[in-house]
Amino acid sequence: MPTRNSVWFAAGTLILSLLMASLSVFIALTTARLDLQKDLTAQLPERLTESLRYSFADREVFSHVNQQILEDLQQIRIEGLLPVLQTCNTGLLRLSQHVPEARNIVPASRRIAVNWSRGSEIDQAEFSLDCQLNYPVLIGANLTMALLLMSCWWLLPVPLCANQKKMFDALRDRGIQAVYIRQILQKLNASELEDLTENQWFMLAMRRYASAEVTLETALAIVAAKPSIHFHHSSHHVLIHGISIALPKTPYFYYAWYAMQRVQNIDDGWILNPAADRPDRRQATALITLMENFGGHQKAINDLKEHGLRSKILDQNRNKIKDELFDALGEELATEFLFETERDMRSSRYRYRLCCAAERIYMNAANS
Amino acid sequence: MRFLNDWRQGGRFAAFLRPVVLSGAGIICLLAIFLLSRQTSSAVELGHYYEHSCDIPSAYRATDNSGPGSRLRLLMVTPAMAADMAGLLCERESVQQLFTGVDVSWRPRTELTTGDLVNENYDVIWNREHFLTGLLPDLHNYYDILLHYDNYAVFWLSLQSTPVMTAEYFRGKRIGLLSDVSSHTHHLLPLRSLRTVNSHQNDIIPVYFDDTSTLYDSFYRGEIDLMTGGLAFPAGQPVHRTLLDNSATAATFFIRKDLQQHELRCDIIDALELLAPLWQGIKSHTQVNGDC
Repeated sequence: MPTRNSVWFAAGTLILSLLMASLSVFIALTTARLDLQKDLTAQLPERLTESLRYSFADREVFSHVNQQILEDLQQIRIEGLLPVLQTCNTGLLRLSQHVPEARNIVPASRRIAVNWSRGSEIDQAEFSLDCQLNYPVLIGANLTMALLLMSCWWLLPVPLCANQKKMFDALRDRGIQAVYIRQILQKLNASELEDLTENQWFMLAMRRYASAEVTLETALAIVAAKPSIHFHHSSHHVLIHGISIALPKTPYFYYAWYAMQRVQNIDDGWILNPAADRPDRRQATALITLMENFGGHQKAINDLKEHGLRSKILDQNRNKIKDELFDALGEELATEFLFETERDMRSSRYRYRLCCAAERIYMNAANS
Repeated sequence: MRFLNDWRQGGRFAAFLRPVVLSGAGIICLLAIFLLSRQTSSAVELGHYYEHSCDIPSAYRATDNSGPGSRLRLLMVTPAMAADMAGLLCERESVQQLFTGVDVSWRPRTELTTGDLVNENYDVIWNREHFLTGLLPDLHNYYDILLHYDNYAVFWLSLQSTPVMTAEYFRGKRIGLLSDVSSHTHHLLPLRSLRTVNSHQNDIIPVYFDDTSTLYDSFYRGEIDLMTGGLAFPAGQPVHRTLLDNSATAATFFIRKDLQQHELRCDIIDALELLAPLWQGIKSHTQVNGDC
């Protein structure tokens, strides 16, 4: 689990356990108070009535009851399935509203009022309940429950919205496993997904991620990349829409040669195929220079020097380029980076150029 | 199986499950917190608070009075002077020779049973003779009369006007009575008086009280118009009186027949003298051989 996630998990568990512990304390104190109030209400009125019968001086009787009831209160135990409260001390504040309170500073939350009647008059006795919390039990139990809840939260997959479900199905139809799909969906805003469902570059990038060819960050960079083609002469690879494709040396130089023609806008980028029986030595010069400068195969260079540019070799290398791009990008996506053709009216031969516009072609001649 | 696979892979079923599982886990946790944290009180057993006791230090005790039941037990009607009475008796040599301590109880007299009398649970009992003989006809085989107060004058009392012994006077009056049917002064005598003047129950408004203190308080607050009482009635304000009965029995104290020790009986009478303010103007008769 990444560090940042661990911090969130720990913080969430801590906050949740604190909330649960607070609730636990509130329930423990409230139920203890209510239960004690119920027990005292059931017994105290009768005890007071019988002790006050034929009394001429209630205060003396109250004083006597005060002393004796304290001994009874000492026997009271507060218990629960979980011993949240370590010890509780029940005290008597006063038996009647007509006598002064024994202790003044007792918050209302710790007071227990017990009504009793003195003839037609309703009187009220007040008790206090002070409890010490059992911190080890309180923290241990609530932390465990918080951990369980947070684990559920963490481990269970997040629900999918409509767009996410659509994307989920689309990616699964393309053979991507659900576990990868979840990771992909986590990285994307739900609002972006609608456009991406039909985005072939997105599908291609995610397939490459699911097959561990690239990281998810790289895959997303591919989606966001411009529809351009970068030529790296020194390493003989092209970067199409962010996807790196390594080509065999000779087809690479033929590809780069077509690209240079397109960039330099010579004949609108068109290169006329030589006649089958008449190789073209003039056009071979630029190709030979390119190969010689960037480590082309000597055999290919010698062949060009010896025989010139031949129609058959040119066709073979274009086909090789097409195969490589089809393999890497698929036919649909590769097409816009391949060749278009038309028949030359004068010679009746075919001529070829890159489909890609010149402004989307970048040449990188660095040796690094 | 498809469901399990889907869940493992985090598929759509799992996504549906998440809120359900989380809600369920949340509810279970809340329930667990409530059930586990819920506390109850135990051993809440309040005793009876109608008894004053004092113990006689062992240094003062005779050697043969350490067994169970060897406490001097007095059953009074009122808590008045109970602590002083217990303290006084504990200091008396005659008591120290026979008992390990003194208990002065004012347990409601209506709770007294025949068993209490037969078993002689109390050494001294303050009660009406007719009430005790009602419980135990041969009472005098068990108890002697120790002290008797009679010729007790009981009055109708009013804060507004002098009571007149006619049915018309009592009509519509709120009359304070004790709910204790064994009370002469506050129950039996006023009812008898009303019958004498032919005042029907429907003509008056009886208001019942559990104890004399609230009866008196209600009288002084004007919540009742009439009540009955003796001369010793605590007069907070001027009270109009009309004699109801001049020869009522105020109180009778009984003592266990076995306790024949003259000095002990005298000491008990002496202690009961602490109640003298209640018997102002009432003649007492002691039943002790010889002078105390």
